[in-house]
Amino acid sequence: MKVDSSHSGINFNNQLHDTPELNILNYLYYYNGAGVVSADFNNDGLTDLYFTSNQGEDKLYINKGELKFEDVTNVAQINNSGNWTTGATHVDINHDGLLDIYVCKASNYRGLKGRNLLFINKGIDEKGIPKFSEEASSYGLDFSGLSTQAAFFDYDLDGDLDMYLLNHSVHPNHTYGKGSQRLEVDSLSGDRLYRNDDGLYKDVSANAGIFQGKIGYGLGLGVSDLNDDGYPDIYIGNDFFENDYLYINQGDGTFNELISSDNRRLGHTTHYSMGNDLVDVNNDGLTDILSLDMLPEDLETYKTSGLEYSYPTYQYYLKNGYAPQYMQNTLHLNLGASNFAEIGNLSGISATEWSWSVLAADYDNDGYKDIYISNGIKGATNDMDFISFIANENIQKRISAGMTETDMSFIKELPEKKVANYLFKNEKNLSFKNVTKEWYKQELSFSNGCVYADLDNDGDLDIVVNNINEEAYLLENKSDSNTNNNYLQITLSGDKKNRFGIGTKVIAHTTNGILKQENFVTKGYLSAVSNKIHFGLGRDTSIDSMHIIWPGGKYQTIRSVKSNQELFIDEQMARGNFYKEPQSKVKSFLVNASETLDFKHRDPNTLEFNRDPLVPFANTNEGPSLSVCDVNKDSRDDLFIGGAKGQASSFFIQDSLGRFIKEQDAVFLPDAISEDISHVFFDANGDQYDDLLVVSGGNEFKIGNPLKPRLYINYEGIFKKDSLAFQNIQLNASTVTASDFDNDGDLDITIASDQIPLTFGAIPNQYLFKNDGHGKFDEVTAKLAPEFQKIGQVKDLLWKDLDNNGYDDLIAVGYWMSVSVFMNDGTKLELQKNNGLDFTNGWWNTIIADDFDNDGDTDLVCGNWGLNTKLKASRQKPVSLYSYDFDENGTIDPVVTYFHKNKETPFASKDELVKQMPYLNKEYLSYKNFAGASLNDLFTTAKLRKAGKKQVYELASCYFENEGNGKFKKQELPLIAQSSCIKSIAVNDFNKDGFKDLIVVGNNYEISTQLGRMDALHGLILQNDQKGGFVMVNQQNFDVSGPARDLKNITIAGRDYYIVTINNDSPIILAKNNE
Amino acid sequence: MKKTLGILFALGTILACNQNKEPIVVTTNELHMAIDKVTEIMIHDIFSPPVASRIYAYPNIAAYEIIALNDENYNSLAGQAHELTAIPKPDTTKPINYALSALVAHMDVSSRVIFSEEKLAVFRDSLYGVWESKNPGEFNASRDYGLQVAEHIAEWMNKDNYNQTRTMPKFTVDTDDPSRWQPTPPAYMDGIEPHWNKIRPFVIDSANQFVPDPPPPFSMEEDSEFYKEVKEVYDISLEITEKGDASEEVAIAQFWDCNPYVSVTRGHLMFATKKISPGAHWIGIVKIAAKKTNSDFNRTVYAYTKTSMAIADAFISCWDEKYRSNLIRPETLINEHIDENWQPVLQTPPFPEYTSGHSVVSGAAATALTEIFGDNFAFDDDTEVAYGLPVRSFNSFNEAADEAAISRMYGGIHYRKAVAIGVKQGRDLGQFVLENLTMTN
Repeated sequence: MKVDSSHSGINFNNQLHDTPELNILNYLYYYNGAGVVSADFNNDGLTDLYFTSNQGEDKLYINKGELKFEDVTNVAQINNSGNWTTGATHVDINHDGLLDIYVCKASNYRGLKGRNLLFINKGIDEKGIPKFSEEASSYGLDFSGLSTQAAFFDYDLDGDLDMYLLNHSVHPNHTYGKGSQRLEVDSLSGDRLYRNDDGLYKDVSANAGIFQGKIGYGLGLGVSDLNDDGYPDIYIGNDFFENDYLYINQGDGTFNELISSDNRRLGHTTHYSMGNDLVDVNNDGLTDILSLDMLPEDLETYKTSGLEYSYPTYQYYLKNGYAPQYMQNTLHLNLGASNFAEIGNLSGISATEWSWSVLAADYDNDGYKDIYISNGIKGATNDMDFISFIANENIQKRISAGMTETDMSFIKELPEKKVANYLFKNEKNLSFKNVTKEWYKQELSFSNGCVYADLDNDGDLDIVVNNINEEAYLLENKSDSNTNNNYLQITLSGDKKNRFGIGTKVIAHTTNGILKQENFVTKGYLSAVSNKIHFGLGRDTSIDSMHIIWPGGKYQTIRSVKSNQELFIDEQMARGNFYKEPQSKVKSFLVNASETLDFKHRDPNTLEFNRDPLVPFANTNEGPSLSVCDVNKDSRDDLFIGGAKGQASSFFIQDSLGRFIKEQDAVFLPDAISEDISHVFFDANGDQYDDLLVVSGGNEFKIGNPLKPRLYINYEGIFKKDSLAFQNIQLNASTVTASDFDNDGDLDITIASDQIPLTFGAIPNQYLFKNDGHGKFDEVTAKLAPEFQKIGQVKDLLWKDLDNNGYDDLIAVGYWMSVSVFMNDGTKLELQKNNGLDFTNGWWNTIIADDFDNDGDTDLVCGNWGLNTKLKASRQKPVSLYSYDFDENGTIDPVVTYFHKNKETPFASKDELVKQMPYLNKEYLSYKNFAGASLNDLFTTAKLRKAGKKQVYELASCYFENEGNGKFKKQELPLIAQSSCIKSIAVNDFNKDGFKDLIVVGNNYEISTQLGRMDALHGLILQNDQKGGFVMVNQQNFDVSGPARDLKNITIAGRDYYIVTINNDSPIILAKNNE
Repeated sequence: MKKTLGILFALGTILACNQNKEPIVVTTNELHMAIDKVTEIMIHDIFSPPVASRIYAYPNIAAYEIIALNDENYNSLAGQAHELTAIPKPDTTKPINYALSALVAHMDVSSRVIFSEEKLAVFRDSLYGVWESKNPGEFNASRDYGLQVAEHIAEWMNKDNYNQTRTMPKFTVDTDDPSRWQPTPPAYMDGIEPHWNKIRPFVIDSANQFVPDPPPPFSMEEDSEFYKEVKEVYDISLEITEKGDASEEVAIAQFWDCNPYVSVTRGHLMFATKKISPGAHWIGIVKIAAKKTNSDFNRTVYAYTKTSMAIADAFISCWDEKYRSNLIRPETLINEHIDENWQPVLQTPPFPEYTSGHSVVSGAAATALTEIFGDNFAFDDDTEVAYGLPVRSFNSFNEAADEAAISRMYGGIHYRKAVAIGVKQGRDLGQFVLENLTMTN
């Protein structure tokens, strides 16, 4: 609830006055706003507020209680106005028990002058007003440059507070150039790390490994001990093309930047990064990362905004030394072991308009942190129509020459995006619900820095927001009276040089899980929260046990803490070293093994987006798969792994020491051109030696030998290609299986296809081949399974006797098709209807079958596209494909649509669509008109009706429980399993409870850049909960990062392993953990 | 009764004529204005240089075919331009003003190939208003005929494979071959129009009829011919930027920039400042020459038509070579091997280097113009004044073409060979066009 300024006395307003000398067209951060600091400056137990003003006067308000404030700026001798002020934070720099204020300024650009300011709190007068004196230079902190924000913390654990200074760049990003520019030093824009040497701050950036280049457009700064080693780490959000930086503290005074050194750990990050917050959102005790971007939730804004580079151009950008980043808010869920799953889309917080500050805190005191996001932009410079307007030689000349009063009218053409700030309620299952409308009366604003603080000491967190050209907001939290939830607040009292206990960690074990807070005050955006720690406790009236861990590791454990109080904790009570105590660890079922396989898959960047810029995903990087078999009958598992186009597949023999020796290269080399997608070992000719059938795809060849299956006959361990078998078919294959579907004692063959080559969405033929028992195969598809022949784009299938009639039945999954069951009566395979699988059309990749509920029948688990992209699908709101020659040029245009809220809209951007169909450019000259047009407007109802139409109703990976009587009950796998596409699944009873568990792998990098990149899966064990469902097993210490494709069990030197293949990389080998 | 009707009819006609009987005179200037309008719209809509050349050619041909029908000095292009058939014959009983029909056809075909039709419609409607008020009978008959011809030309145009090339694959950046073209800063755009050689040419037999000698073999060995060319671009650039914007070389580079794609980045803004294309610059020179020689309407149409056909074929030929040799731009190599921070004077346009498009097109255009208006035709080129650039004077079209060609080296976007061989490729092609078109008697 907003408190009026007539009550609060807070009439601060960050008013901008643009001039020809300084405005949005010549200072790119002119509309970035200013910050707020909340802290108790006069030690009266009430949290006070400090506002920065870009061009006007900063203000200090003393809290008088009951949400009344007094402007004491002048009396307190705070004097900062003019030039350009950005962020601010608080610190007791001289450890006198009084909080000081550090203020950042942007200087040395377009006439802006000044230095960063340090207002030292000299004492509190009799009226309770603190008096300040500016003394930055005597601490060595009077930096003059393009500062954004600072954070004080003890990075080297020497007991005093050091400082990280985040600076931004105004580098005219003519070209992004090489990423290695981050290694150069720019004196105005480069970030700084200052070490506190007895009160004098020394720049140690270079030695500490801090990037200081001119490409660091630093807007976000957060500090947290992300890997729980006791040393604080730093997350920097950089705007534009530069990576974000995640500095992992090495404990020796240096940092290792994780994103540029190994981008698989975080996957992708925000592209136009603004503020961030490092907090644990799922109560597992691990700090997660929230970072903001500018993805609009509003469809029209989205369609009129500049979007990501197209896929081919994006690859070029990556090649220049950058990590993948996409325009969306990110939530990097910390999985432990320095692995993060980015689940912004899955959790529902990815699109919140042009966003600045994010503050995750428990606003409703229910035990789970909710999210507040400030947003809005006075002039959206990424509006495509504005860009079109301003892209005029004359206008550009005038801006470059120095603007005049009349040129200021250009700025009026900039669309304003005045939007409501967002509030999200934590739904406790990794997802968040937008409660903006429910929790307060939303107002449109240009909001930037903000803080939470319990300003009225009623046990809940209020919010204060700094707005452009509008009074600041004070939002009073009424949770204390609206809910029956409990809380706990903690005030820390530290030793010596860190009196406010900055960096202290509080971990509370509660019925809502592990609640963790760290006392780092700089967070969100340009702002700093008070150092009072706040926990919402839900219904809990006490906390069983709570650890308070001070920087350096000394800790105190308190038991049975009563709720609804403010607890004062003194460092004097702390002992020992928390990080040296034995930690109770969850057993990791699997660990990365030291064994390796001398094979690297080489599948370069897809060309599918060059051929077909309209499609949402490519179908070119589906390999490799891996087959395991004892080929030479020495009782050891050998293996075969597929090569991509131009790379021969490889066969490895396991020797007696468990090493894999590559053999028989010459057999496979002649067919290197084939992109081998799937293969199967089976005894084709009844000689008791398993032969090998290999099928190929890759969506690179239209026709020809590279698309023919190849049978290799095993002559006592030596393979020889059968030049005749299967030579009459050519297909872009997806999988091959061997099973005795006619029950005649030999193994028959099924070869599935996922695509007619180079034709998006067209339905290929599927094939069944009957074995005559001597290794001769006859195609019997039309006779035995006519419905299977054209069932769709099949990705995976299996044979299993579902009805116990002695004949294996066929279950197939694929793209744009439902999970399809064909019952086999020995004479015919009949497609089942009304079996609970009817409207399961998905983008299915994989299927396994087993009895998961121990009721004696066969259940299914199917891996799908997942729920972590902007695409959502349901029966009512499907993802659709319309295939038609819309521009009548003789080529079928694949138009994919999806529902944004209630509107069906094309997936491809205007820029991509008009290149393919120029008539659209004629009809929709402006992006605004295009954005407003309906699907029927764009493509006409008549043409859409004539178009070939396919749909997807389900994108979640699912468990289908067999209810008996041939019917299945659908249940989505847990949310974390939806964080990426699942490409392969294996079954194992990891915890040996008699109920089968799952391990799933996946990811896909070859999707449209407008969807991002699916990289959140790092290998996941899903434990059978014995109640007909699966749950995630936390903190597993193994890692399957990258685009995994296949997962197979193998015995190496008598021990159990999994081998996971990775597209365009080496396989990963996991060992069962025998600890 | 019959007689009365006849008299009434005659009376009516007289009355009508008394009201609006003024003959309509379509001026050469109105033709220039219509073409200027198309240029202006093309700048707004941003068409790539090859596409722009197509946009000029078809409207001109539509106009030309009408005047050729009625002026014995000119021959129809039917049977001369590939797959063009004779336009429909006019109804000679109607009062048709051929110049008017020609201009109507021109505007109508133009409006089909640009995006922002609205802007052209405003101009057209103002002309229609004037004409109709002067003589509705003549106006209506002439307009209807003009539109009929426009339809005929459009049908022919739509079979030139332009629409089909829209859905062909984008150019693939083969990232392993160091000699291959790579997207260039700042916009890193895809290579434009990789399939332009599949567009039906007007006069030349095929896109690969004038394949130039290949560029020197790629090598970054310092004593190789290719490396020397790279180094030369770099050295010239340093030398002339040292001299500053006032230097003759920088002035030449900027004058002939003609890049409709110049990208500018200001924070979140990344956009193209809009300029005319090389073809448009030469179309501007046609106007200058026609005005200077006081050419009448028909001769002006003829000059525009011939020049624009030569230009269009030049683009087809040049683009065929560009995506054959796929040569990397100086900017990429210089940044990689010589100077990471080097920027060319002009922004590198988004397509392979060899041969220089401006050189080929200028060679072809100058050859056509020299035939029409004669050699040693001195003129003051004020085409770029609207874009803030000065007037430059030339003694002949060929002199202008040579300067346009070398401007690309000064601009740092082409090696010497692409320029020297490019302008020859254009002249050879231009000569072929002249020899194979019989437009005047």
